[in-house]
Amino acid sequence: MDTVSPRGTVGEEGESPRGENVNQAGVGGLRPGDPEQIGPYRLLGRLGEGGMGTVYMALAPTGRPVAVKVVKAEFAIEDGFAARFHAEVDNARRVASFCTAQVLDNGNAGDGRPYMVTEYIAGTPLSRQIAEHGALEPGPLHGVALGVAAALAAIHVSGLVHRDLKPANVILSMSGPRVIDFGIARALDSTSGFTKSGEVLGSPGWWAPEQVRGQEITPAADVFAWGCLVAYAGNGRHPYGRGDMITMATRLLNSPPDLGALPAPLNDLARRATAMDPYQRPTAQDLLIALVGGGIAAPSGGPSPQLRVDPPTLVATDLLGESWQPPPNVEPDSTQTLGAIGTLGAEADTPPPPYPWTSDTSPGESGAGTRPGGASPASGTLPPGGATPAPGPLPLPETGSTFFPSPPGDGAGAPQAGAGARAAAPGTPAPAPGGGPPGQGVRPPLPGAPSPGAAAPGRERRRWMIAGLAAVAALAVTGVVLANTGGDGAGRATPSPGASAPAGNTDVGRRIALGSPVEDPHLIIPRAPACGLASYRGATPQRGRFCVVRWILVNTGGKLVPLARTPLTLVDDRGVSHDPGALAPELPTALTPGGRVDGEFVYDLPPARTPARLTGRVVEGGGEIEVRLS
Amino acid sequence: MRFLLSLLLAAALPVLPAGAPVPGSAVPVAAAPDPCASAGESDFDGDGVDDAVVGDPFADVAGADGAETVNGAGAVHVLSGRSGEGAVVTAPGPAAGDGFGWSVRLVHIDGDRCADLLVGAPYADLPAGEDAGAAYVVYGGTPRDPVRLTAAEPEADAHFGWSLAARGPLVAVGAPHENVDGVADSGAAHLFETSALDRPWKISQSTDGVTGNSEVGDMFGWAVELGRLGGTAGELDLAIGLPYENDDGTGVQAGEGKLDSGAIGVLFDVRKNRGKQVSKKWDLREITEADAGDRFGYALAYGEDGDTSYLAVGAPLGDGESVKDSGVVQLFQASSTAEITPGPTFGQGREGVAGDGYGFAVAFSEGGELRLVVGVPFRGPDQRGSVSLFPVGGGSGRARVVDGTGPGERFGWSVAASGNKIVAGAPDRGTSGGVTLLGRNDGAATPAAPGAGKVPALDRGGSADFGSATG
Repeated sequence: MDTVSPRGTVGEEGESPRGENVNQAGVGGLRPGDPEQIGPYRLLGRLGEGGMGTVYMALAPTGRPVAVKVVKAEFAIEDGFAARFHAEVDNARRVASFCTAQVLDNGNAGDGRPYMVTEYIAGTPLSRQIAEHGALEPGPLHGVALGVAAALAAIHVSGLVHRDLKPANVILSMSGPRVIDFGIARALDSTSGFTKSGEVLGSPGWWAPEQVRGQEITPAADVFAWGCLVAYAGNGRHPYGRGDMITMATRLLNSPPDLGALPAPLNDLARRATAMDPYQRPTAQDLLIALVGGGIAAPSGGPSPQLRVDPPTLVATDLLGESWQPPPNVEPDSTQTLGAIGTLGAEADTPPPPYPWTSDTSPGESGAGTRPGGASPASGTLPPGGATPAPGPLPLPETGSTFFPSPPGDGAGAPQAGAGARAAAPGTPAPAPGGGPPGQGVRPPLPGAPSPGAAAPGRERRRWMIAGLAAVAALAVTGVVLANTGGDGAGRATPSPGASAPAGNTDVGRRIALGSPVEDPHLIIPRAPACGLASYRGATPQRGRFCVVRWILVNTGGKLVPLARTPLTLVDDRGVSHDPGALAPELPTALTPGGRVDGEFVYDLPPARTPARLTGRVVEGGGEIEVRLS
Repeated sequence: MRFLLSLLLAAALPVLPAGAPVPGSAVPVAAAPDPCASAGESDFDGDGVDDAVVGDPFADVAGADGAETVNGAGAVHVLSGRSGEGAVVTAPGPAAGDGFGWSVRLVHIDGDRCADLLVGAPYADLPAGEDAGAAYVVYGGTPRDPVRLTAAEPEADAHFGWSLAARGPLVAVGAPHENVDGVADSGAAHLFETSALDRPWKISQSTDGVTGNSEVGDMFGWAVELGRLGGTAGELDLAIGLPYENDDGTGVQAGEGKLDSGAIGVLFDVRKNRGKQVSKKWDLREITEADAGDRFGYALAYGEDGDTSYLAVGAPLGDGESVKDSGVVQLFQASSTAEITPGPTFGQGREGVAGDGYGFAVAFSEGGELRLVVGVPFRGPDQRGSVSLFPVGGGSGRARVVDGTGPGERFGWSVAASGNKIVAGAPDRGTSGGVTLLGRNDGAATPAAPGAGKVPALDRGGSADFGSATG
């Protein structure tokens, strides 16, 4: 989002030497003249300052640390700027938060300047990492390449172009690389006052050729920047060297980038990504798929040998951890977050809400559960802070429990037996009558909780074929599926018979098309539910009897399909809904083309109830389905 | 009970029943000297009448030890043409989630006159990786141990066995999700000589002489066929479907051009040209109006009529008669003297509806005049589906369309010819799924399903997707 004057030079770290609106751990103090509060956000310190405005670290009313970017007054007075700004931010809020800093809110400050609020990502900017510690090792490098590609895919699928992707806008956090500062470049670009001043949007060295030529900016420009960024991170130097803007622009237009020596497949991908012709570049999604598939399959060059050596024992969370190796100097988020909050004073007794990745959640899950609408009202005001986290409209990342959350619906505890790990994990949100659906409850972190992936019993068949690396990919394609199915009303006009055809009694044994029967995955409940079980896999029902519903998911289409994080709800013969207990392994994050997963849901039904149907979503962003069981 | 059933099965059909890893347990009961002496073309049991096979890749079956049910291992039913009775074939040592029966063909592998069963299990786990996939040859006639086929270098998630073909001395097995040269899901096909089923060789778009490049998600090998398609007389040509190939010009691209428009490749004299292939490739656009997402190459079928041979290629989301995404089938023809050339394009005309899936499955019924069978499984407002049967190549016979009998049964999901019958799958008919045997010349339509009539239900298991593959 930075703007750079024509006189700006490119430092070794690829960013202008003066203040950046970087969302990072280094928090500066507030200066005289800085407001104490913007909207409902209480400012704690400065994160940076750039051409367009200032970025503050702030505290949401809920106690969550956030980054608040306030636009300079000179833009704010531009006619129509505020409207464009908010329109763009509204778009950005649709971007899945996976590998990006999620946009949480926007509004106008007391003095009329528009602002936007994003997640606060603790970590080290890639630019500083390279400047201080040199090139990344192949492991973290692959992780950065993958994470940034995932972020771009998520951004592009929402119809946005980052336009200013550069190392300063990639934060290396414990949970993985995160891309920040997307979403409002276009508002600036179309600001006449801005372009009038002779400034060029973007940062020298990270432009694509078409940006310099003043041609149309497409997602391919971000892909170009991705290629440069990967080369920069892998070699520790910029692929176009150093120089002022004119020098850089001249080189950019006249010579291919010096991509140095990159491990496969990054060498090839970076070369293709930096093709002069934007139409020759792969899309972010292509990059993602190539990195996921190639990384697993390639005989060499994969960052984590464990992937190939022992794939069956890996589950998503494990793999994610392996695929992302933060550089040694990157501290745990929690430390930095808590440290930053330590200055709070009066509010210090309110423990800051945890980041989702600090305990038993993975980024994939936190992203999957995003709720653009649920985070905060569109008005830009957040719910008043509650000292006690409660399920509901908190702007916190979802827990995305690794196991199926316990059913909050009836207020009764879910069966927790059978899994030591799970019994220790907080399966139920803080007791709250009428709590929200599972997956939206707030789960406090349990730093000591065992890794969920390590002790998942009852896994009938491990088919985490795409596992971690693809988990990264999963969220990025969420929007694709949204666009392809959710948004495509016409394509879904004919409901699949499995879903809602009136005839027939049961959908057991049928292929339930999750969208188009040719293009989208199929769900099969191969057998009628096995009910009336007084115990199952060592667990005992708490409310009545277990009802086990087996399922098969198979993707006969050509897309990587992200799967919903919330399991299907069982509706019994009296119309009461039940969520599955913790006995079932979680769904993988996504299904690769051709991928198949077998699993089962275990429901604890009160006495004398029989299952009538399953409802819910299987495909993230896909339509609701209904499966008749009797 | 278990032994009794085994014996019954062995008596009814000289197949190695499930759970008989020891050859001795499947002793044929007073077999004739040559049980295949009078066998017909697709005659598995050698009784002189062509048989049909039906796959149920999601079936639960009895395990090898007979004690426990193995979930989702898959099963194949052989429907005897003469008696109408069915017998069950499972993988030797069925494993959960293998998907045995995902693809089925009745072909000839060994030297006897009985047809042999070729079965794909693309989700079979191998030591080399989960879901690497396998295929099985189950011999008809005199009982012999089944043979398992795998890739020379199996790869996790390659789904070897997704598609199958066999003719003459060759067996072809598709592995569309194999990552050739590390390119995700670019796909490959594996060829075997019937005399050396343990020594496959691999063909992909990276093979010397194969037109096209291995690109991400091409899924080369989604469909395979073998036949005489314009190569040297006496040599077999291999047809390959790549329904997810992007129509993107030459060179390596990713995510460009018309996405998933699909393509087919024909590799001439594929056995002779093992070192350097000679091939030709078609995009649907070169023949008729085509668009992104057509999935040209989704289904392949080969048939002969005298000296003329035909290749039918389904594009289930092709745009027939300007009805977008209603599906088309493109015909190709060749002869001993003529190169392979595109022929007519078939569709449902103006009656087509987007999503019908015309061409989701195709087959040829030979004998008399050659007829093309096209499955249209999503036809009708309730997706009851239909099967279209009509003569090609100068035939004058009447076209026939048979609709599914119940809502949502997806009749036409799979189609195959068996002598003078057509066996069309309706995997969503009821809980188990079903098939309907259609008379080729008369109007007969006989439904069959496990547990109904003479087709036995799976012992200690359950059917789920019977009819998703037929052969």
